[in-house]
Amino acid sequence: MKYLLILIPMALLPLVLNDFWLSQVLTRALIMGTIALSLSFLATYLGVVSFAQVTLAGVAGYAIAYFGPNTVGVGVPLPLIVTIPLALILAMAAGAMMGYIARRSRGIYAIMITLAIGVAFFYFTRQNYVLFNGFTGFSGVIAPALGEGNWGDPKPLYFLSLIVAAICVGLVQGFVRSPLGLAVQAVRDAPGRLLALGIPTTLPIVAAFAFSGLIAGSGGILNVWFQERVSSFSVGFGPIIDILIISVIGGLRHPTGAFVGAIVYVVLDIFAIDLIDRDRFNLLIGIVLLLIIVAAPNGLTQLITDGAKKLRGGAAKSRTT
Amino acid sequence: MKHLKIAVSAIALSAAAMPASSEEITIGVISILEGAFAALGQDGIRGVEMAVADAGGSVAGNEINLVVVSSDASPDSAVAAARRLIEQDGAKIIVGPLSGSEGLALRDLSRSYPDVTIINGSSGAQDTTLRDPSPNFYRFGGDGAQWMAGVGTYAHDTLGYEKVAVVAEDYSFPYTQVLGFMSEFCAAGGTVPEKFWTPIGNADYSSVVYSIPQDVDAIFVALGGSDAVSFLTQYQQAGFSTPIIGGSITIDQTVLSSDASFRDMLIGAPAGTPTVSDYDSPEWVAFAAAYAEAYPDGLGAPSIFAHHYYMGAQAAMLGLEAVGGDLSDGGAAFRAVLDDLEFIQPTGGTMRLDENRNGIVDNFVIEVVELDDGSLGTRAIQVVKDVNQTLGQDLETFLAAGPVSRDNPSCP
Amino acid sequence: MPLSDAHNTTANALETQGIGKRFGGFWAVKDVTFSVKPGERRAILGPNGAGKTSLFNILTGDYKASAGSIRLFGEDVTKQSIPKRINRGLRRTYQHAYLFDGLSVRDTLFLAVAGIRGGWRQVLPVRLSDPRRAEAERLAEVAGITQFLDRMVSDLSHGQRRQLEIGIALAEDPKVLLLDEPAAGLSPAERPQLSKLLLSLPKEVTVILIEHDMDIAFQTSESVTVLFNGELMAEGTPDEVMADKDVHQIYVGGAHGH
Repeated sequence: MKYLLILIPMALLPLVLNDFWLSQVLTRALIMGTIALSLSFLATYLGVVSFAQVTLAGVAGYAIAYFGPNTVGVGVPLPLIVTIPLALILAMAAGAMMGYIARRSRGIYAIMITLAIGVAFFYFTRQNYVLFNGFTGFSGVIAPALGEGNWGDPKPLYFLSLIVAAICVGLVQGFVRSPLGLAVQAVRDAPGRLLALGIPTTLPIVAAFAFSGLIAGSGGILNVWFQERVSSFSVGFGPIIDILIISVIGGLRHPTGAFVGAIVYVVLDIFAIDLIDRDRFNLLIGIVLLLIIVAAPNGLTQLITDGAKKLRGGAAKSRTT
Repeated sequence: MKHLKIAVSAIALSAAAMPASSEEITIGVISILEGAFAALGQDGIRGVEMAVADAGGSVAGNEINLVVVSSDASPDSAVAAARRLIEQDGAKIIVGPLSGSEGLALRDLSRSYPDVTIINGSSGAQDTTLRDPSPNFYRFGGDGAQWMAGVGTYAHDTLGYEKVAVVAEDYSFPYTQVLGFMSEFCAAGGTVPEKFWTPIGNADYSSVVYSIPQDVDAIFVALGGSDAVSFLTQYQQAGFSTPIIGGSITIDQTVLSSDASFRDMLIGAPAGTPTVSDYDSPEWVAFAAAYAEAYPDGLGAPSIFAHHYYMGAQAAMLGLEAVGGDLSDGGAAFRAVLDDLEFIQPTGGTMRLDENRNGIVDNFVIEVVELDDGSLGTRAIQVVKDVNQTLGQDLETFLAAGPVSRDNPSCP
Repeated sequence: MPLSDAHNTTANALETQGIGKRFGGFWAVKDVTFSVKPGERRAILGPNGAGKTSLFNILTGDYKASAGSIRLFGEDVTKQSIPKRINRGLRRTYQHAYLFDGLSVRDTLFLAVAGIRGGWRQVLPVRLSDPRRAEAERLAEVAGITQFLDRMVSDLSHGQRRQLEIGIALAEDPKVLLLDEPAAGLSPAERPQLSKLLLSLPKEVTVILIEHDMDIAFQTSESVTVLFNGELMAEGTPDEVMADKDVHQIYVGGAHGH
């Protein structure tokens, strides 16, 4: 119910916002938030920080580009009804494979392994021409047709991203209550104990990574329709760090944190250059992010909920006295 | 609740950031102001500012409002920057971007905004204007192939090289540069037995160094900045001394001022470029002097980026003057002026466009010389006038050769 | 399976032959041979570092035995994996609380039931199956923590965590229970309650108990095995063992070594 309180106003926003705010700020934030959600999910429920969620999103994005319409003449066009499930399955398979590789690693080691996978994929896309079209990548990747336009137009893509984001949040909340989701959290708390209960830890780890691949892949598909292109740049260091920052400033306590982080990051990224001398705008972004992390070590979402609680507590007290 | 608050503040912000008043003409500028290209991207902005200053900061009584946005060399960032300029800042004219892949992305984007005119900054990919051009994307400058004009002929006819190996980075701009070199060199009778494509930012060239055939007369090196330094150092240290031919961004100040042991190898090496820092034509001398006066803290001389962004912005100013600053027809009249625009470019030649809205330019063959103080510099040895995008060939023949790639052209 | 029933009646519940565990040049457990009859309650005593928990780890498969063999109801399990031994009815608790802090008591017991019943296949269904949920609630009742079913494990008191440990170990018909110091860290008030819980365990379950609290150990066990420096030192009824000179020496004399 409380999600409707958020979703309904957000569904009405296209009535008041221009295309720039709708697509460049909100849609972009929803897409980045969805990809960041896959990272928050892993960090919160499996206790593993993965640097390769952008890679998983990229796998789905490249699949859409390779098996869909593009203007670079690479790939095999397939019907949409095949392409989308295929892209999601490939992202999940890539996630599962990554989980299998990282199954014995935690903390800094998991970060190193996933970072290595992410960077290896980045360089691979740059140098492979048969599947990834090298440095240039794919352009002209148009979203499916919708009436006179297509799903990539500002309003349709905004609604699509909003629905996908809502579904992904719902999926995460459902997954963590399922038996497999319980096992994933058990791996986080006491892997040896789960083993002693007769449940091998590899299965929940691989499942959690595959599930994160589904979430990241959904974001990756939206992203390629949003950008109408995908290239090595889409899976490089920049996006990897962006997604990490979004997850951290949003906070890992609640799945919606990723979206709060994303909107803050996107607004900052777009408008910082207007606020300060153009030599230094990245410094401003860095300082603001640093301040957020110092002021809200558990993320903005936590800061907001704590603040709301305090306000409510204060109000309650003043009523009683 | 918190989403609502964000939404409300978002609305408030968007109201505050409405497009500028009708008295102003907003020109968006996209350049790379972060990462490895930041210093060069800044120089591009200087070029735009100089062109606006030349016009007195206004056109037909309309103030020019420059809005600068940074990209990061990625196509995605260039597209995001352009959308912001168009949709948020209300820019009808954009000058930029800086690098090749960004240019291709903005060419594609321009189709979605037929009322917006995009004038290329310094991006040099060939297909930005050659294949599938966009009616509202202009390039008042050359592509990477045009920037090599004259070098292939010079290497074959004057230096007497018959066989040249190629070492270049593996992406669109070097492909285009290699095409520019090879189309002349192969036509003159030279051969290129082998090409080596290396990733950007590569540190270890040993496998390339030892694979280069021993019997080549020279190596055409189309690597940028630190990649060029790494390759040349490792090549020289391996004991080889085959002469070098440089690409447009190979022989830059980082390479020349490096005191590495390969410097002797470079003396006499030719390269192709549209911008020679100490060119002695009166137009360039005046341009360089204006640059030095406006930007005492700038680079020693206007770079290729200041030069090209200047030309793009200058075209925009001239076009706006011709239509009296009136873009109310979706820029159609403005673009009609640009199509036939001719102006004297800073190097002295006359800038004009071909039917694909790509510049017909002057290009230079330069060579590395040892200056009196022992340091290395460059000297223009030849100016090639009126280089068009097909490098003097018939358009049909040129297009029939297929898009440039690792394997095209080929003359082993 | 009639064959295993035959084993149950004739063979020992648990039997080791010269098992040992070596870490580098050090034998944590050395040449231990002992057997426990079905339904027997056995206490394992010994000072800190005697190798009691290491012995448990070998029996469960957490450690690979460096020497010797282990038979469970006559079947050689020395080379079997942890889940296989669990399948054969072997269960354990841990000396240090090693629980899923981020889960509720209900979810923890559910995982125990699901895992032990069917291993990984049981966690694949999308929903928590009702028979498993009912079984989880039954375990909570046996362990006396029904009122905490929906509490997070991290919010349980120390004693409640101990009870949850035992609840987990009781999931799905254990045959041999290895309890590693279930009373450790409990307050004097909580101890009798634990003794009661241990005494209420089904008679057919074989229990092997590591315990420092002599009261609890002797109250709940009919036989005692004493380890010292990784080796078996004495074995017998509580009275016999307490009469042993060497045992008397280490417990009363407080000597740690020769």
